[in-house]
Amino acid sequence: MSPLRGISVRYTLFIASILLAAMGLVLLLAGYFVFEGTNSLRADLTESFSSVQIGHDIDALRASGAYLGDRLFDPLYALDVSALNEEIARIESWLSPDSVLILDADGGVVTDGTRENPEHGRRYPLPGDLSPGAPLVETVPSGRLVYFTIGYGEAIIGYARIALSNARNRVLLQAMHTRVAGAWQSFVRRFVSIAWISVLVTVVVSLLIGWRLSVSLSRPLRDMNRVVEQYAAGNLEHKLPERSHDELGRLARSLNQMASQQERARDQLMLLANYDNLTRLPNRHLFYDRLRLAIAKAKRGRCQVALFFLDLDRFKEINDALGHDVGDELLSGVAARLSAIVRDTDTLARMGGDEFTLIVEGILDDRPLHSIARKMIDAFGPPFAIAGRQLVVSVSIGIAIYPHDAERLETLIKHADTAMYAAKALGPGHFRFFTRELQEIAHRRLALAHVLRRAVDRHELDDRAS
Amino acid sequence: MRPILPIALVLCCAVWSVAACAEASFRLGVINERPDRPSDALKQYGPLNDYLSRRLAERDILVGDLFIGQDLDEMAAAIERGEVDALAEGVMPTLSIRRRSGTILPTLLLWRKGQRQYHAVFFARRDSAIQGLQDLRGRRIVFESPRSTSAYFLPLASMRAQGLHLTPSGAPSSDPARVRYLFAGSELNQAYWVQAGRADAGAFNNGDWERIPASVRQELRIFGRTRSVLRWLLSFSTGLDVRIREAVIRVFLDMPEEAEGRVALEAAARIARIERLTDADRADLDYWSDVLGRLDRPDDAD
Repeated sequence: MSPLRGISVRYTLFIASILLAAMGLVLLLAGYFVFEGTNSLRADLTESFSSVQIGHDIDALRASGAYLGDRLFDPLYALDVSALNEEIARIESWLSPDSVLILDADGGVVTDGTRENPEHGRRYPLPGDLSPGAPLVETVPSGRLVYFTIGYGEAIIGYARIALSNARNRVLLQAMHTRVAGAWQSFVRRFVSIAWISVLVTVVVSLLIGWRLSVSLSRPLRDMNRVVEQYAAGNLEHKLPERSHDELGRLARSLNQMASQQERARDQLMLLANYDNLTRLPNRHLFYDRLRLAIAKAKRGRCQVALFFLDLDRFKEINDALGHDVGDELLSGVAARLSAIVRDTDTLARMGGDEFTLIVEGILDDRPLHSIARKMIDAFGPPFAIAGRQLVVSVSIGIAIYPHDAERLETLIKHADTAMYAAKALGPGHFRFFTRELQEIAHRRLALAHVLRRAVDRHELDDRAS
Repeated sequence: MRPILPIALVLCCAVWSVAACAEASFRLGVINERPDRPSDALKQYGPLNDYLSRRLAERDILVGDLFIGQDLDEMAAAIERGEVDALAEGVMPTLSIRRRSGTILPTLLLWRKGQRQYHAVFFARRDSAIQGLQDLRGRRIVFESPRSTSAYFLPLASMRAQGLHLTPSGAPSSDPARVRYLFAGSELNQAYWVQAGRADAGAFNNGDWERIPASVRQELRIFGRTRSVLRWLLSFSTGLDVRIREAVIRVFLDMPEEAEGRVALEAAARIARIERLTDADRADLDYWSDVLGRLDRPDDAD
C-alpha cells in the first residue's frame, strides 16, 4: 500500500492543510496590518520629527540665547575680540548657523567671528521688544533670526544676532529621511525574514499538530486492524487498549467482548472436540494427538513410552442390567479413581465405551509400570456406590512399550489392545505386557477366525460340530 | 657545567637591566600660549611630539609626553630639574631662561608664519596726534602679553632705549609722563583696542599688522618700528646627551622634507623651515640678551 494512501498520512495532510491555511491567513492579515501600519508611520514619524525638531530648536535657541548673553558679557566688555571669535566658533560648531554677529550697544558689528571681520562697524537694526534674558526668535523666509542681549542684569552692552537657515532643518530632515529609509529597509528585510520563518514554523507546526491529531485518530484504528487480523488468524488472546470513552473506545470494548466470546466458544469447541463429555478425560482424538507427540518426543530423547490399554470387566452386564445412567455414572467414578492415581504428566484418556488408555512418558524400565498397573487394578477394589448400590467392577490392562514393542503409533495401540485381551484371558483384574508370543497367538487366532469365517461362508462346517 | 646556566642568566639579566636603565629618552617642552586652555597646547604640539616619537624610536630614543609649562618660571624650573630636554619658544622667553639658569642652548631657528625674523611696529589711530615714540609719554600703550617677544619685549626694549619709562595701567604713579601699559591678550585685541580708543597705541609683530582686519587697519597707522629679532627657536638643555641632541636636531632638520613632518610643523606653530643658527644669529641673540638684561634692571624712574 502506498504510504500516501494510509489513513494517518491522509489525515495528517488534511489537518495540516487546514491549519496551514488558517494560520497563514492570520499571519497574512497580521503582516499586512503591521506592514501598512509601519509604512504609514514613516511619514508620521518624519513629520512629527520635523515639528518636534523645530520646536526643540526654538526652545534650545531661546535657552542658548539666555546662556550666551551671560557668557559673552566678559569678552565683549573687555573688547576681547579673540575670545569673542572663539565663542562664535563654538556657536558655529554647535548650531551651524549662517552667520553670528556680535553687535555693540548701538547695533554696530564688533565681530562676525572671522579674523578679517568684513562686517566690522556695520549697523544692524534690532527688534524693539528685545529685553535681557528674553531671546527673540524671528522667522524669516531664509530661516530664523535669533536675537539676544549681552549684558549683566539689566545693563546691556551689546547684542548677538544669529542667522539660522532652513538648510539646517532640510539637512536634518534629509538625514531623518535617510535614516528612516534605512530603518525601513532594515525593517522590510527583517519582516521578510520573519515572514519566511513564520511560514516555515507554521508548516512545521501544522504538520506536527496534524500528525499528532492523525495519530490520535489512526492509532486506535491501526491497533484494531492489527487485532482483527490476529483474530482472523485465530489468535483471540490479543486485546485492544480501551483508552477513551468515545466511539473508538466503545468500538474497542465491543471488539474485546466479541473476542472474549469467540475465545469462550472456541474453548468450548476445543473441549467438545478433545475431551470426553462424560468423564472430562481426553477423548480418542486428543489421545492420538498426545500419543503422537509422546512418541515424537521419545524418539528425540531416546526414551520409552508405555501405553496402558484398560477395559472394564463386566461393564456391559452392569450397563444392560442397571441402565445407561448407572453405566455412565460408573464410568465417571472410574475416571475419577484413575485420575487420582496417575501423574499430572501422564495422559489418561477415554477411548470410548468402557475402554481407557494411559500414556506414561519418560520410562527407563518396566518396573514402575507394574506398580502403576497394580495401583489401577487396586483402585477398583472398593465398590462404587451408585444409585444406592454397591457396584463391584474390575479392570483388565494391556501394556505395550514404544519402541520396544512397536515404533508406529497404530501398532503400539494394537499391541496394547492385544495385551489387554491377553490380560482378560487371565481373568478379571489382571494386567499383561505385550510379548511376541501374544502377537503370534493373536495372528493365529486371527487366521483361525478367518478360516472359520470362510468355512461358514462356504457351509463347510458340519452342523453337528456346532 | 651545571652552574654555568644560572650564572649566564644572572649576567644576561644584569646586562639587560643596565641597558634598560640607560635607555635614551627625550622630552620636548612648550609654554602654553593659553594657560587657561591646556588642550590648545596639546592640539598644537601633540602631532609634533608624535612625529618625534616615531622618528626617534628608529634611533632607539624614547620620547616622553609633551611637557606643557604654564609660564616661564615653571618651564625654567623643569629644565633645571632635567625634566625637559628641549624648548620651542620665542627669542625673549628663551633668552630669559638662558639668562636665569644658563642651562639652555638655542640651537635651531624655526621659520614661523613665513618669517625668519621679524620686528615690532608701533601703531596708533590714524587720527591720533602720536607721530613717534616720544609722543607716547603720558599715554597708554597696549601689549599682547608679558611673555610676548614682539608684542611686549621688543617694543618695551625700544621704548626704554628711547628713555621712556613705563608703568602698568592702573598702578599709582606721580609721574604723568610715564607711559601706561596694559595687556590685551592677543594681537587682534590690541588692534581693536587702539581702534576703539581703549588704548592710544599698540605694538606687535609686523606680520600681524598685515593680518588684522582691513576695516580696523584702515583706521590705524604705523608710527615706529623696532630692530629685528629671530622668529622662533629650538633650544636644548645643556644636560642632554650629545648623541640624543644630534639625533633630535637631525630629525628636526629633516622634518620639512617629509609630508608628515610638514603637517606636524604646520600644526605646531605654522613652522615652514628649520635651520641651524648662524654665528650672526648667535651674535644677534647676544645683543638681545644684553637688552633683556637691561630690562631686568628696575626702571629707575619707577
